[in-house]
Amino acid sequence: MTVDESNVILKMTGITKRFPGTLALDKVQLTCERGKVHVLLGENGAGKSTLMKIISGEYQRDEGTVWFNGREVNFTNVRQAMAAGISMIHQELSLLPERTIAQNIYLGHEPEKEGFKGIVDQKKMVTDSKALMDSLGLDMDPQTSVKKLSIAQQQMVEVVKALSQEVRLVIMDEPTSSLTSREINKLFEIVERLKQNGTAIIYISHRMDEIKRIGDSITVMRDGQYIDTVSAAEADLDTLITMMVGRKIQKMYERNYREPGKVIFETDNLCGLRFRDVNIKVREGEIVSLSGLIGAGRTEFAKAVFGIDPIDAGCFKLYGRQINRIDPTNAIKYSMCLLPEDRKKEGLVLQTPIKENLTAACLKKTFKMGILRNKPENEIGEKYVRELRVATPNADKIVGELSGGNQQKVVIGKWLETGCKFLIFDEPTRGIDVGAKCEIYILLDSLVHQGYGILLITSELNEVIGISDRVYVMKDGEITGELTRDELSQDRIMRYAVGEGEVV
Amino acid sequence: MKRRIFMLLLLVLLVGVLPAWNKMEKAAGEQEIVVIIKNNTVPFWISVADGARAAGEEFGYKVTIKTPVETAEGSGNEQQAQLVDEAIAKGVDSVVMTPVDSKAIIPVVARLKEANIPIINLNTRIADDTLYETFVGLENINQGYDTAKALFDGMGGKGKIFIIEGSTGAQTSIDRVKGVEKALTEYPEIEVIAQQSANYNRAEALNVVQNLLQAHPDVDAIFCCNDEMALGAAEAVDAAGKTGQIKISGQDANDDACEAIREGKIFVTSYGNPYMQGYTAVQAAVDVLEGKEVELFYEVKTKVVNIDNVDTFKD
Amino acid sequence: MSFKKQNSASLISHILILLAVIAVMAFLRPESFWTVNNLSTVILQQAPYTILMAFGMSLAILAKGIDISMASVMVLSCYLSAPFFKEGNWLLGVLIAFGVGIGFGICNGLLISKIRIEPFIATFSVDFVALGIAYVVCNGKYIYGFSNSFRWITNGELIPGIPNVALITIVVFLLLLFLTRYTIYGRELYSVGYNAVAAQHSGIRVDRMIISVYAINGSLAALTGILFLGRLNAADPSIRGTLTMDSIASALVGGIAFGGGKGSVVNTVIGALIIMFIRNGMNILGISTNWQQSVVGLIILLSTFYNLGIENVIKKIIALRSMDQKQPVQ
Ligand SMILES: Nc1ncnc2c1ncn2[C@@H]1O[C@H](COP(=O)(O)OP(=O)(O)OP(=O)(O)O)[C@@H](O)[C@H]1O
Ligand SMILES: [Mg+2]
Repeated sequence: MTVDESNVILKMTGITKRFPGTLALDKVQLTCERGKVHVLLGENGAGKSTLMKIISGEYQRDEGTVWFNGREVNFTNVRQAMAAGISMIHQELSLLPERTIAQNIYLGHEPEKEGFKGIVDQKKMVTDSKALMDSLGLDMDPQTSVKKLSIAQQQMVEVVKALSQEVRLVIMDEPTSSLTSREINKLFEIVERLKQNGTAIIYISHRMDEIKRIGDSITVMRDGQYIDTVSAAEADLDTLITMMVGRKIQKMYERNYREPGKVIFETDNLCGLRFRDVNIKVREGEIVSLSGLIGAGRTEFAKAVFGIDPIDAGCFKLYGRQINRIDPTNAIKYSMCLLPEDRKKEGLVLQTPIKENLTAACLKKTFKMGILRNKPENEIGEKYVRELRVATPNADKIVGELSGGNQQKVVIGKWLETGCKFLIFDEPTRGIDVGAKCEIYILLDSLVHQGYGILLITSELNEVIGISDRVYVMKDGEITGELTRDELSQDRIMRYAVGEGEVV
Repeated sequence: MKRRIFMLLLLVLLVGVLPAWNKMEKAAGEQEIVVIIKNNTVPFWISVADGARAAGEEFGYKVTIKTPVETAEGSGNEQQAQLVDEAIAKGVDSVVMTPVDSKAIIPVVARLKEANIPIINLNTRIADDTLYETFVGLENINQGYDTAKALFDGMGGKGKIFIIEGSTGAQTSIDRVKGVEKALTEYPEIEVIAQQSANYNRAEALNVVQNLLQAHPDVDAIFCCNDEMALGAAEAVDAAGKTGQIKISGQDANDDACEAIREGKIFVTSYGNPYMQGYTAVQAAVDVLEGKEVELFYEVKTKVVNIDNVDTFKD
Repeated sequence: MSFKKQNSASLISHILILLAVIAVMAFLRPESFWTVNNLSTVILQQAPYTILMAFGMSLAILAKGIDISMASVMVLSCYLSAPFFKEGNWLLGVLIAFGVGIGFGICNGLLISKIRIEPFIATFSVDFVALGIAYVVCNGKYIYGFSNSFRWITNGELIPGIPNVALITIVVFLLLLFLTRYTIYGRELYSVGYNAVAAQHSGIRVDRMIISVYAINGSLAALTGILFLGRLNAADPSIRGTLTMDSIASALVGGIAFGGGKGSVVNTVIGALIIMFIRNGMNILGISTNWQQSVVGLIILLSTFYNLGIENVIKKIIALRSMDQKQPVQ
């Protein structure tokens, strides 16, 4: 792959980074050009985020050199990198929930009132962020507090934040993991515009279809090592995946369909916050998807069913049991679980080891008489680290230190261990690499064969089409359509999702 | 939702209770004397209040006792100021005042004078003597002096002592220590080997004395600026197995201290006659209101209390 | 156990502070400080009360709360039960003491978990309520003079050389250590402290957990109150003194972090001993009691800074050692 030397903005060579027990990066190299999108590919835990954090000044490298904009640099904190024109959109959302959108966008570089040093010009901040969001085609009120936003909206705020000042290099670490195709299109328009302005972009994603769409060149990493850099135009997906995973993946979506059994979950005009009159059912041995745009009310629905949020009206049946009110403790008792959308806040206790997170939802089952013991917990830890291929030296590692995708695997493990038979998975493959995704699909398939019922909420249409038996589409809190496996197509789902009915 | 209901209940409660309470206050006698003292939680001040009320009843005046919630110098003074302002607003006839902080209270009391409300100073002197009609109280210096002398005599005129002070800055504590110092000049063979504050607090005194005993096991007596601390000290001495060997003195002659004197755990204390203080202060206020001549200082006599008169000193 | 790596770092560093305090004092006043008598007085007679109260405070802090009301609840419960202990009606005394303590604890827990009042504000208000009632009930009459058999609970020596109060504290310590470290209850407590939302999503009943923590605090307050009666031979509302501040200070100085979830009751013991030895040492040195407050404040600050620095160093050492023993990433 040839590089136009005069156009190079970032050049990293021989980068090595160690964490306790882990060699996260082993002599990695990377070169980026102005006005180009450089895609970084690699499995969960390959070291992509770590490499990016070294550029953005969050981590310090142990070895290697970094040239940025023509000189050797050594950023020791984020501010320095920001001042040099490097902006990073984090994989894990890092907004302050209590602050408004505007305050978050300008966090750390608030505009000052003219003539008053140190006084923030609130008005200017609001109008500026409004203008900025308008220019990016986003319709949000800058004075809403961030905690009220959905994850997708927060993600877009992160994008705006990254572009709120002069940038030469934008790092996007899985920006699309929780976006639907609409928002993704918007994001890609933004990327296109940045390219034209000569901004360099490093793009990380586990969504293979995006890579060829916007990438100019691709660097593949595996287990903290540099594998190769290829031009996007010449690369072929299968080869890339093989380079990434180190083995061949035959088929992405593995499904062996079976005749569904009895109904295990059925709602009766269920109403709650941001959804109403929902009537859906899930049968044994079925994967049912709940599709729709971001903000359609799917997550809210899931939360109400699991007992996190209140049910306003209606009821549902779970394994024949009529339920009007529920809380998570009972939900689990009745064999239902929810894999939450926000793994960091809702799914994991980040400061504790992997194995403790794995047993968190079934303490009583794991430990007899309420006494903690090492043996069963270690066994569970080892089992899931092995079965779900969590990239970690052992199950004692603190979950917060795992890469994003591996954290998600731990949450899945936690729910599998409970033995609950009705699983609601809200974005289970978010941020998970192709290899692991494929494994999760195989896992889901085998689960339904054991009689589990799965309600899947996902924003990836390919996934919906690839593995569902049936699909409900939700729009503005209401079910607008139901599609069987034979009827499934991107078009149809989108029509229901945006509300055009069944126009073929 | 739950929170809202809770708040509502609270509001209903307040709305219901407040007017009733207000009525209660208005109903009583014609002329009102407000007595502002330091607190209503320790025996000493409760006796003062009792005495004041008794005098009010006897002379046919309405006596209202007011106390700050906190007794620390800063916030206590703040709250006393508030109480004074309430009294002015209400238009009471006379105020009996015991300041938490002798100096900081001056501007507050000046407001009373401006409003032409006569002030009787009780127990602790206000630092500006032009502001009040008369002072009723005991001389804490004399009280400390008398008690110290009784203690020193009990030691045979020689030996080593600790002084356990009250809250730092409290005038009573400062004066009582002054009294001890005065007595010390007359007993050259008595030596002070440690002097620390235990904040007028029983539990703190216990620990402090226990710690001091480690450094000075050869101490002969402990002078404490109130009874609670003396009782704490007594337990420390008891724990060290030295009851009787180390003599302890307190101040105020509270019931439990008297009990301890009978048990031989405390050697001597001193009765400040709080009841009489409260009574005399209201009496003085009545005299002022009725246009009688008052003296500048009514000294309430203190009494040294020991094993000999512990059962009879109040008569 | 699981918290070992994190916690041993903070524990080691705080034991170092304790040793430093002791070393300085022993150097300055070997003849009166560095004696068996003095050390045992501080550890076995003075510290237990602060330690017991600080246990409660630590549990609250671990669950991402705080309990300002403990000392006042202690005063009230010991005041209400004292007359019965004095009469010799022990059973009723114990019932009343614990009833009051646990009652107020549950009240705190309900305010915090169900009505969702900030722990500080909830317990701060309850503190006033409890103390107010104590003053009203007391009405200036201290209850003084308990039988020797009652005071034996505190001062007697079931095991020669160790006063019962210390023995009880050790038992409570072992119980709490077991509860927090080796039971599901403890695991859930830490989870709630770290991330209550995630705990709720895992089916842990967060409300019940919080209520139970404050109920435990209440019973610790009641226990401390009963023991205090024996030590002081009196019930007196002013014994509340600096206990609240001392127990918060113990937790902080011992290395229990205000964010919740970090630390254990071992840290509490270390913290309380640091505070008690500072007070003891300064008395012996003849430094004014008033300085003690400032010094305690300073130590809190220092230990916080120190945590950031030295803990990281120690963590690194532990991490390096553990790296040798473990295999690399798969
Ligand atoms: N702060 C940390 N402490 C210890 N280990 C860490 C830390 N951050 C990352 N690691 C480890 O470094 C390795 C690389 O992690 P990194 O987050 O860079 O992966 P990634 O390629 O971004 O994966 P993903 O696609 O899942 O986000 C992982 O094994 C991870 O456990
Ligand atoms: Mg990553």
